[in-house]
Amino acid sequence: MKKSSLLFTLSLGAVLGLFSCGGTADGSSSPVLSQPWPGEMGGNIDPEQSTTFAFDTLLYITTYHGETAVHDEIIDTLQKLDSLFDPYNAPVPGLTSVYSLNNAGGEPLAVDPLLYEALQDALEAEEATGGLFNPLIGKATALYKEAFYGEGHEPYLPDMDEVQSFIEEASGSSLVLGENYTVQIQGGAFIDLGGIAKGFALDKTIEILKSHGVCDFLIQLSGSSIGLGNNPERMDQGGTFRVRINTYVGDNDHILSARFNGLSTSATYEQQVMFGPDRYSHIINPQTGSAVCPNDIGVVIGDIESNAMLDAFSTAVCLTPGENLAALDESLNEKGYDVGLFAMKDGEDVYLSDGFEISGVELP
Amino acid sequence: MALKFPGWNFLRKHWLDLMLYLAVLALAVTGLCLLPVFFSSGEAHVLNINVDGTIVKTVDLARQQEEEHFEVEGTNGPVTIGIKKNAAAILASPCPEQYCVRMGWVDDGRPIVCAYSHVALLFVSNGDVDVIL
Repeated sequence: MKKSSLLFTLSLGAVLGLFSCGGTADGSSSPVLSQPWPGEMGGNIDPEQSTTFAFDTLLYITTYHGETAVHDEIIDTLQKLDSLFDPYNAPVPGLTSVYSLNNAGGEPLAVDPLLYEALQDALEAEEATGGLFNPLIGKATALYKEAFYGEGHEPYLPDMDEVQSFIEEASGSSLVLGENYTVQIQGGAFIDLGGIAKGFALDKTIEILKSHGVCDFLIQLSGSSIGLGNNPERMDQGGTFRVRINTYVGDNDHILSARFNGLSTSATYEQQVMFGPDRYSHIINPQTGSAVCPNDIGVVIGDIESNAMLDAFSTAVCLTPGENLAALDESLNEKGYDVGLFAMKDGEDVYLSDGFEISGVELP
Repeated sequence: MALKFPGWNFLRKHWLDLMLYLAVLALAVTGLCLLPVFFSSGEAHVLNINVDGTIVKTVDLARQQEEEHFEVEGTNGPVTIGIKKNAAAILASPCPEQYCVRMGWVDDGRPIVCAYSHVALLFVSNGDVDVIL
């Protein structure tokens, strides 16, 4: 999808809201809206919300026409992916997971096709971000996790020499994806898919919704990966969802409206640990080993079916200094990823892609 | 002789009653207009407390005058929840990372989640927005 079509999608709601006088909240006289796959849209609303705990957070699935069986299928898939991607706990019997690969001593293993596909996405994300996402920094991630959030002690800064040695090991290692879903880690590094896990899970969720012809939905995999379908409760506003970006500092409302888009955010606030003036978080720079980000919030919006990439890109936005964000934006779009980027630091807006509209943004 | 419209005598005789009726009518209309202001619970003030996917308690925080603390049994032990007017918090949890506790009092509709204990404090309405990041 070209950038112009993304902008068209974002602005569609506003345009239709202005010109479709017959549109009503219950969709009884809704405007004709485009949709990416065939299925029911608008009409009688019977919202159904399911929640499940996975990926260390709460995931919400909302559809609007009583699709209970679809919810069950999605939850089963999310739970399976949670087990496949967990680097710290052995998988449920019968699965070969990230944990299995990390503990295979470099031997090749045949993994679940879903994990294989996620690892393909991980390598693509590494390439697209120029290494700002790296799936092989698992050892450094684990070291920080224990230091910041481990049980029985106050947060402390890990030994940076040790972090550095893990970062060097990661850059000297490689992930080899072979035939018949065979995966091998060459070089001793450990895999951590935290930077794309929820985005990939959202992609699989969208695939299930698409296969059942469900177009009216809202999927929230915590606040970090959001799938916005058509909103039948706002057919008078072009079926868009209104999303408020929490700016944490000050009372500075930022609202965006979108429909049939994926949305990914990375933020340093919720898992922050302060050491002096520096805010450390779970986001680690794979190139330097630092857990201090130049930006506090990174938001990326793009295609509804490319959420694993959006997830990695929002991490890259957090890790990219303000003066380099335009170059990152240009680079991603030149590579064919139709995305809009937004970044904040200390409550101030740092960057917003041209044509990507978020109300309340005041760029310096 | 001055011109008098029909009913002039009635008005002259009952003007005080009419003024009273108009005043009562104005008060009634004003009251009806203000009803939503007095009885609305505002945005994101109804809280569902969810344990392992089941709602165990619902609270209207707009009507919560006193700060109140109570425990719910999470999947890994008790979790202490605080509620006060228009805000809620997880005050204590057995989880190792304490993300939920560190969020403090939340009054803007963001969910408070303790994934370790499978406890979630979910605001029912976010007002004019559908998602809060």
